[in-house]
Amino acid sequence: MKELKILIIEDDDHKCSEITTFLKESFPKIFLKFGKSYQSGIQEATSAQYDLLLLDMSIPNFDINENEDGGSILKNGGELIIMELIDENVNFKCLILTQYETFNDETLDAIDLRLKENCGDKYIGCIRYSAWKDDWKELLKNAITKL
Amino acid sequence: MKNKEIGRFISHFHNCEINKIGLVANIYYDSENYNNLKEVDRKIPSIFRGVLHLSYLKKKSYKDIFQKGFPLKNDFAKSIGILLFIFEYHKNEINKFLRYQQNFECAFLNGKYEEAKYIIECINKQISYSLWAAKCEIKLSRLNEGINSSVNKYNSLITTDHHIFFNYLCENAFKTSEIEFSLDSFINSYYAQFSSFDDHDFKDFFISHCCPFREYGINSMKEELYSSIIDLYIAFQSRLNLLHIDVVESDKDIKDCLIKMNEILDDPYLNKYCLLWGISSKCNFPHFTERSSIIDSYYSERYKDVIISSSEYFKKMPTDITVLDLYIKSILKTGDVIAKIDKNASLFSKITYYYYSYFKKEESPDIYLNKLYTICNAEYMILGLRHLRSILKSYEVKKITNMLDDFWKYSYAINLRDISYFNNNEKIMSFLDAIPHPTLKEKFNSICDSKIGKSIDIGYEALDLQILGCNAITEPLIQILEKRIYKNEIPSYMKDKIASFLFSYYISTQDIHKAVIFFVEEKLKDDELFHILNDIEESAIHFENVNLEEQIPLELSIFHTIIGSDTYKRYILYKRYIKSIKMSKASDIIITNSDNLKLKYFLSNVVDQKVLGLHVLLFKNSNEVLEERLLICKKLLEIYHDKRYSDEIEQIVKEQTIKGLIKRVDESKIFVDEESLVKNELDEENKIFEIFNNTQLNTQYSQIEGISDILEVLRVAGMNVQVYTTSEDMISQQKMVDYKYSLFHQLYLNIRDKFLTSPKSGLDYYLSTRIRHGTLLNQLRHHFQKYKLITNIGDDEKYIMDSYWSKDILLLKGEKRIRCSETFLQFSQKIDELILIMKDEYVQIKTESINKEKEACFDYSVELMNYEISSLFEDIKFINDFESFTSCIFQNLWLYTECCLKIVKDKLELTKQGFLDTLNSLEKDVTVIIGLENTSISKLIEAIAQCRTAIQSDINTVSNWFQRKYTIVFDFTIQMAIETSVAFINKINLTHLTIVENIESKTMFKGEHFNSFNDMFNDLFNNILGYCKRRQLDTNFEINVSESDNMLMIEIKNSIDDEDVESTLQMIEKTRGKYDALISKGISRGEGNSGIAKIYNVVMNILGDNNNQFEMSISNGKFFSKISLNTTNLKS
Repeated sequence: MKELKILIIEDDDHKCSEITTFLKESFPKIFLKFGKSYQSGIQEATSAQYDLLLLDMSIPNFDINENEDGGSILKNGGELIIMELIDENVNFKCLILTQYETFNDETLDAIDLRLKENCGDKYIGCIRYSAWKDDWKELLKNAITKL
Repeated sequence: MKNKEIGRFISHFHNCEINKIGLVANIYYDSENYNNLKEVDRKIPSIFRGVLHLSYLKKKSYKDIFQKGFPLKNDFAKSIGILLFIFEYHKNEINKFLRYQQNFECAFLNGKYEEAKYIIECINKQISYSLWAAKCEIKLSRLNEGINSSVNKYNSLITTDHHIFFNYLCENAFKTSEIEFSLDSFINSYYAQFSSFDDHDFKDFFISHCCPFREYGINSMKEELYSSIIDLYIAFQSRLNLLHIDVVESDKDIKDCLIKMNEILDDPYLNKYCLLWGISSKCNFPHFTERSSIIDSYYSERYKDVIISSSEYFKKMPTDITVLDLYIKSILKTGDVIAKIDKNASLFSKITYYYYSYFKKEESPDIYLNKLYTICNAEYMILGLRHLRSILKSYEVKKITNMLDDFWKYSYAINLRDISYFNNNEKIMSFLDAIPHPTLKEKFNSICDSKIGKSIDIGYEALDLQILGCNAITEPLIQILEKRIYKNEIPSYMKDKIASFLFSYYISTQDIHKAVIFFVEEKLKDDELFHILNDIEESAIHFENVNLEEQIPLELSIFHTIIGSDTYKRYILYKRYIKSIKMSKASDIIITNSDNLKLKYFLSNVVDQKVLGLHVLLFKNSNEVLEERLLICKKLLEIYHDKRYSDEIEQIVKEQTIKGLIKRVDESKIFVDEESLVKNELDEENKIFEIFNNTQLNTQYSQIEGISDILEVLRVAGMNVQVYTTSEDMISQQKMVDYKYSLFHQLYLNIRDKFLTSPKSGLDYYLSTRIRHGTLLNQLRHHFQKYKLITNIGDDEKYIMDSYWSKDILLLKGEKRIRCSETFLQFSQKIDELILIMKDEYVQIKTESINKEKEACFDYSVELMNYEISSLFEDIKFINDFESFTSCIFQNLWLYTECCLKIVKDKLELTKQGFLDTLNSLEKDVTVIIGLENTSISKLIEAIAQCRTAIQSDINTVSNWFQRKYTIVFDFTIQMAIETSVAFINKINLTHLTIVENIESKTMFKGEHFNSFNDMFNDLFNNILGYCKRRQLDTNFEINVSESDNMLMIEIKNSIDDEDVESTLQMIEKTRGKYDALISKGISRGEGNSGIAKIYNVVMNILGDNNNQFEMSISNGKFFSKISLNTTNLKS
């Protein structure tokens, strides 16, 4: 299997570390890169080619650091990244991995349906993440294996 | 009714013991209609006819009202026959009353209050006392003589021998007499009271009297036979609009009765309805010819004539609101103005001016609309004002084609607009045929002709469109409307409706491009437009299928901004537009023509910080976004000189400054005031240093370590000495050491202790003030609180049981709810435990003599530092000035402190892991208790997920506090210090402080003092917030700052609960003058009740000057903190 290049866009360090550990265990030949916000996610996704973007939904506008409070939290930031990348004609595939059920009063299922309709094969689907359950792992593994 | 029954009734009339009113009631109930009653009337002995005709309805005094009578059995329509029977026998009184009524209303509206008063007296004396007259007296007195007089009038009317209904309804009239302030709250409370009545008859009766503009049932007249002939007739008159034309047409009895009633009574309102119902052709309206001429002039566009003739007409008929409506429109069409009125103007003048101002739509038209409603509500007994209210309601109707639907309600005489009463042209034609007003018919025909494009007259737009109906709108009509609106020829009062109509028309015909351009261009010219469109967001759905983004990105971006679309939608359009003009960013756009409203709006409103924030391929962080927005605002300010841009610039700069200052506060938490230590607290060390300096190297002396020998001496002397050291430490050892090194060791430890624990300037003081004192707890707790995952400790020192999740959201009951609450309780305990360990164990100073039992991260125990000390000695043993010497020791202590800070960060990582594990357990435990099938569990899972992310960020924030930074110091004003403190506190607390500032100081202070000011305000404001939260008071406070003669006076006042005044005064008294002692005892290094000592320390020591003062006091239910600072050495 060739080396997989995955960009994880996730602001929750703990969740990110859980995903990273699992992916490294499951796919020995894997290259992971990280973005922690809408900005760094888009910046990275437009500057290199990835096999998969693994997106969180609620993310800050900018990476939070000592000089940056992150701006506003974009409840549907993952979806905005997808829309922006399409608008910028970026070639990508993505998967949403989220802990939330609703975003701006819209359910994840509704967003999932809309993305399937609007994004074609760029959008693989969404997986519900849980900090204390492992069922997301198998789903994620299957999705990546199918790439 | 059969003869036999009539005979039985007649026989009862002769029986003295029978209640005659009850008997009459039974006759009315059995007779049911007019003819039957007439039959009884013919047969009854004349002596009893007065009773049968209800002569008691003619009241001799107010006392008689509601004292006797009986309820009507049937609803309004079915009671028409009975009412005719009653009115027929009181026709003289009613006709006389109607004449008086018209004169009264004319005098009342035109400000002839004495005349109006006299008319009421005449009515009372000559016809009957009535509730109507009582209400008029109260309202009149309020208008004519003011509130005090109306109170007296009201008091004189409600005496104990008056019926309670009468008194109650008078009270309502009194309370609703105000014409300057909205009566909505009164009316709403009355309505709420009556709505709860079980008895519908009484409910409707009271609503019809007290809230006549609210909906009430058709049975509401049932109780009116208890009132008076006047009240009965007015009740009948005001319900005519409830009698539907279909009922009149289909029920012959009702129709005949109404025809007869119209014949015997000279009531223009009844006459008007009979014309609408098609059962009369008489036009018995006072001043009808004069009125018709005004209406003809209007429809012939002779507006000047309307204005001239109306002025005369209103002297006689100010209640004719139809003519008033045409008069105001004529004024606006001719460009005339109505001068402002003074407060003593007549009611009619006020109505005229408010109506004109409302229609002119120049300044806050809603204010005038509300003023008009208030007058209508207050003076509802004037029928014309009921019509005015009906017209106003019509103008509020969103769709222009339905605007005139209710125009006919309560309208006086006839008008073309009354045709809105009918639902087909046939009926309209027969109505117009029946009335002697040919112009109206001609006008109607001309509008109908416009369907085929023959003609269209824009003079009465609403009418035209109403008559045509939406489906009949034709291209020629649209073209004329477009032409007029572009040329700004639409009268102000119709502009919004016409513009909205055109927009909806374009949408309905799928001309989306035109709809957007039209909307944007008209809206930018007149912001008052399109307010009435409530489905405008929905209309945007039509845009999706049309490729407008590429065609008109500028207009579309403006459209979406105006209707409040989401940020991404606006962002994409912004991107499209700047791409279309080949620019990379909005600030590059050059406005060459200041009249370009679209560009102005685009830069002012579309390109806001949120939109720019999404342009992340260009702007990499918040600062770059702010810089871009600043550039745009500066450009706009340069061109338009509008204050809104300078305000926005000021706001951005302020936000950036406060952000910078908060960052500085965050980065300044690890601090020791070395300068102050050297200056004020190292005298003894200076002396030791002199000895050290004069001591040669390698001077050996015999040093005794351990105390066993000393203890032995003490024991021999008979003293029981307890020691707490290990036995090994106690054994006395004697060894030769370097005396210079020994002195150095001692000096180092002395300076270390001052560095760490000086109550005024040491590290522990700042750790306490800037981290432990509320800040750490709030920063780590507030997201758990925000998502309601933890509860607070209640008065009983126990955690409050969770009810939000277990009861309100998850809707659990019984055992499950208890178990769930229990889980949340354990969660709260665990989280607080983790935070408190951090605060009370880890973020603590430790040496060989303090906090020995704690797992403190700042562990400076001598056994750990000995290597540092000996190494340093080698480096600095030849330094011979104290300042350099102390500086080297401070430097060394800071190096050591860096290691301690790393340990704190490690502990914080452990705390973070503890939080995450505890959050996971909570999610797991609650899911196990309630099961995943509970649909609300997703809300909890989301809250936990959000909290999980947020808390990691909070830990990072706290972690950043534990570093020593050399931030850029810049000068500041007192306002910046105050606002930074408030912003910082609000950032980490769920409950926010609101501040009322009155700051008269613009002095710039030296940047080095910023943190001290911040500490002082932080403690002051935290105390206020904490107290207000505990006592559940409003968290607002006032701060006044003034400056004179180099003294800065700060006064802060906040609310204090009455219960706390005594104890607080005692506390102030008890601690007065003792702060220095308390500080030297180390209170400022603790957290409990130490805030005031810390503030005192900043005022008197850190910003110290002999003239400085800090006082607290209580006055008028407020707690005052007053601070005076000598600014001589603080100014930059």
